[in-house]
Amino acid sequence: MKYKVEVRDVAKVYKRGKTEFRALDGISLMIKGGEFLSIMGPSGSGKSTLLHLLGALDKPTSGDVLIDDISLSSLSDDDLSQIRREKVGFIFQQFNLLPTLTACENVLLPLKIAGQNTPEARSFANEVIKAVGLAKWCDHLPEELSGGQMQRVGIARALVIKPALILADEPTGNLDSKTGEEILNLLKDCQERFNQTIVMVTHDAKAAAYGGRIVRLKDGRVDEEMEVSGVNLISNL
Amino acid sequence: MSVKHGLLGLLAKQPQNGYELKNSFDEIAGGFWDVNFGQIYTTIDRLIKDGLAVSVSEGDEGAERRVYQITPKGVKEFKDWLVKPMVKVRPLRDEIFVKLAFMDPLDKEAMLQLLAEQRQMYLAKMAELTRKKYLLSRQAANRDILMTDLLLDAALFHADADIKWFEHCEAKIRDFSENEDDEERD
Repeated sequence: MKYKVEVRDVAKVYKRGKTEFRALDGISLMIKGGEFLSIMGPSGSGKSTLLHLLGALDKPTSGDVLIDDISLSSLSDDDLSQIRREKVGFIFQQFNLLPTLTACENVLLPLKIAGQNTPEARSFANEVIKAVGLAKWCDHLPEELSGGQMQRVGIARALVIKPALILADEPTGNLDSKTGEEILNLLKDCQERFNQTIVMVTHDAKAAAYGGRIVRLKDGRVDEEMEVSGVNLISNL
Repeated sequence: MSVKHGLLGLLAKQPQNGYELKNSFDEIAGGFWDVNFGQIYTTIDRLIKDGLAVSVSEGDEGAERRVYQITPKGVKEFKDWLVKPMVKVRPLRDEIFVKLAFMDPLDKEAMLQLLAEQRQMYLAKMAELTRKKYLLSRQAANRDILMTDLLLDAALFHADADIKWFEHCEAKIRDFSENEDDEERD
């Protein structure tokens, strides 16, 4: 079995003077291609630190992260930023769109940055823009869009580079529950339609329930891990 | 009581036999509200006794079958009930509350274990409900789908509230001690 992403005994220790804080304390995770993994946990449990390491935004103190069999620990800073540009799509709670670019320009931006602005890439981008329901809003600036529409731009922007991995950090944290549900259905669609591997950090059980596997962190460690994709409980709520 | 009104509502659409009523009920509320044949038939008996429904035969001669039919009194009862809000707030009578009430909060391990297992079970149930909702979201919208979706939402919101409460309990129980010298937490 080949894994898309491997987290091997990763620790992240922050030192301030003589005190040290172990944000991650020996985490191992295997993420299959096309899997939708939810990571839950209380604040301070290490969720965001883990997401940053998965996205090559930060380096572990020890251990290693492998994306598509590429060991991140062996890479230079330049190579890491290339991984970020070409292998990882990010979706943020605050959307993080560029305010001076239109919806579609925001979506196409990662292609330009990665030097992949080819006709094929643009035609895939058009497919993605339609798939997330943005065709009508293409020429609008972010300030003219609702929160849900902005997050659709965020999702399309993450998808265009056909990343090995999409990392979503509380993607519905700023949305009302109905819009949040639409966004989560859309993420699930990305998994189904593009066989997209997704790791989503959330503290919201309703969002986490979209994952096929739910990992719960506590004090920088994996506290619980449950496969829910095949569960069919008879019990009633 | 709502099984009664659920059945009245189904009979208001068309006369049905007990088997069909059970299927129609499951279609609307299945997955989080199990009604067995016993309940269906006792409820029907009561509807007939109260003059809200009658048992009639339907179909051509030779191929007739017995079905239940709503009476005008039943229609009125159903319509009155439909638009009236519920007077009572939903009762909290989950078994888990009773279990917790009888456990010793100083036996932290046992309590935390129970809460964690319960939380995981609810989360797995939420994943199952969410999958149903996702499949619904891919079908063309119609009013039946909307109603099923809203019922699934209700189950999800309640499970979510319970999970939040479980987590809250876990945090408080973990921190709890009767003597005050264990103050240091990060």
